[in-house]
Amino acid sequence: MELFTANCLSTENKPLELSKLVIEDKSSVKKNTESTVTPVNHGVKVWQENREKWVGDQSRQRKKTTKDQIISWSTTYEDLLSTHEPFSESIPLPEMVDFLVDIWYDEGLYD
Amino acid sequence: MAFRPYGFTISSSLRNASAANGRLFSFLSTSPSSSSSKNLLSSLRGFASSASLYRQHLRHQQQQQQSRAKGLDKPETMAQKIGKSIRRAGAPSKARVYADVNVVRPKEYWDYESLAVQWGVQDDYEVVRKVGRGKYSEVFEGIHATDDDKCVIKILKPVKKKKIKREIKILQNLCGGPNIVKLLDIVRDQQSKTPSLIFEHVNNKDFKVLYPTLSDYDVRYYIYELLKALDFCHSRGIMHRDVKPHNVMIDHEQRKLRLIDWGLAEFYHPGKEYNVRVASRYFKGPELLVDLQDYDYSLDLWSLGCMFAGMIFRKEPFFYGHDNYDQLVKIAKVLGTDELNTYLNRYRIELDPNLASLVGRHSRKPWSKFINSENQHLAVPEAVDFVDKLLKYDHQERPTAKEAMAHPYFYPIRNAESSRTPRG
Repeated sequence: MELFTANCLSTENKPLELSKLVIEDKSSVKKNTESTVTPVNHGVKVWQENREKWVGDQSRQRKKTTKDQIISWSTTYEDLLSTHEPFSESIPLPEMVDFLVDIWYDEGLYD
Repeated sequence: MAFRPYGFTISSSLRNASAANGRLFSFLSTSPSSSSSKNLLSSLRGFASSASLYRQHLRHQQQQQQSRAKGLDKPETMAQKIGKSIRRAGAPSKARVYADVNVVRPKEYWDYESLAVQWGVQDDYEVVRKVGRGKYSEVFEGIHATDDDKCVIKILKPVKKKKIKREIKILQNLCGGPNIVKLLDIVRDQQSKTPSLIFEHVNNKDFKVLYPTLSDYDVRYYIYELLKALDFCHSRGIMHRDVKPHNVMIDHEQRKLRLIDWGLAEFYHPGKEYNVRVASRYFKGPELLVDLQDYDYSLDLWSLGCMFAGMIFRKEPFFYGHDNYDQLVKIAKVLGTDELNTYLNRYRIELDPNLASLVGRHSRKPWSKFINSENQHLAVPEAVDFVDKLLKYDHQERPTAKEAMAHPYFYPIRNAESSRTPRG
């Protein structure tokens, strides 16, 4: 969470910055109604900056320890997802997506 | 275990096979000796031995048992007899504030269909536990594996691309706004094209546990925080359309609130007719229940009113309808039917006669009837006055988010805020 507090993601820590952003945005809209100045979409700018910070240095690739499959072949939806208790170990997102996609096919969500 | 690399190929070809499944069997029944069906059948047998198919079979059985247990097969009865309401021309509705936000902004701001999404890679994320399930998604607590940062991962079920783009565009436009949940990354599975949205982590406490512990001041504080989020999104031309306790994350230790789930949110365009199948039943505004389609931001103020009433009267949900028609009945039993008719007349709406008779005739119930020894510390006079202002049939009579924030109920909050922020 260090990343969060260090940048403007965390608005409660930077109330001044945000209010500045809001005022800028308002004035740019006002300008637009009078002339043809295009209002800047600050939200999108903030989002792009935040994403870059969050994703971080892409060259610093994750230690690729090829984990064994965690979800067993006989695991059902109920087995795995009927509680909010933590899994016995964390499950890579692609594996969870794969598991859910199987279930959604079965439910006919792709028809 | 060398299963993983095969798992992909098997399950993806299996998907094709199971899609062909239904067709195959109907085909078999008409021409069992056809050679093409034999080929399909033998390939299906091959798949049947795969673990994945067995898993599907088990799940299918489980689901059938569950739906029987829940009585989901039971057909609806009364609901089928009720038709749509009629709206006569000549009484259009338009937002009292922020009506032209998207009119003056460039098309690129609100035209979410033309959004080109830049997908990131999902390999850097892991899921730790499930935190929720929605109609359109499965939600997990996760970690960003490169630096072990916590996050929330929303894996989206297959829906129209348009809907996914709308949610992403809205989250981007609102990024940095007060108490709006922050979108951190968007990733997609290469094979199935399943998108996952990565959000900031909020250490939420279930509202059913948290709300009963909140003090009068806490309720004022959090409703005020929620209004900040609503005023911000409305000022940006966006209505949330699904305000309810489940979509308000509260980290009580940090006194931090986030409005989440922008999956039903939509851009407001004056005069546009929207789908009334939005919001969750107990929080649906009268406009949705009587098919008034040119609704606006004020819908969110009704939903907030329902949530707020639930909090101060300790009655969750406050309007407990068993279906959408009964929802209107439950509202009418509190707000009265004379007032409902005034609303309907103003916008030239005629209810289906079956719905009108279902609603019946009720006089307005005074708010004081909801006060008891359990809630009297919360249902103070300013709170009751505020709930009365929010829960108006006529959406145009409800305060805007900004007006709501100026209500005397929030004086203690605003005083505390202004004494904390140095002037100058």
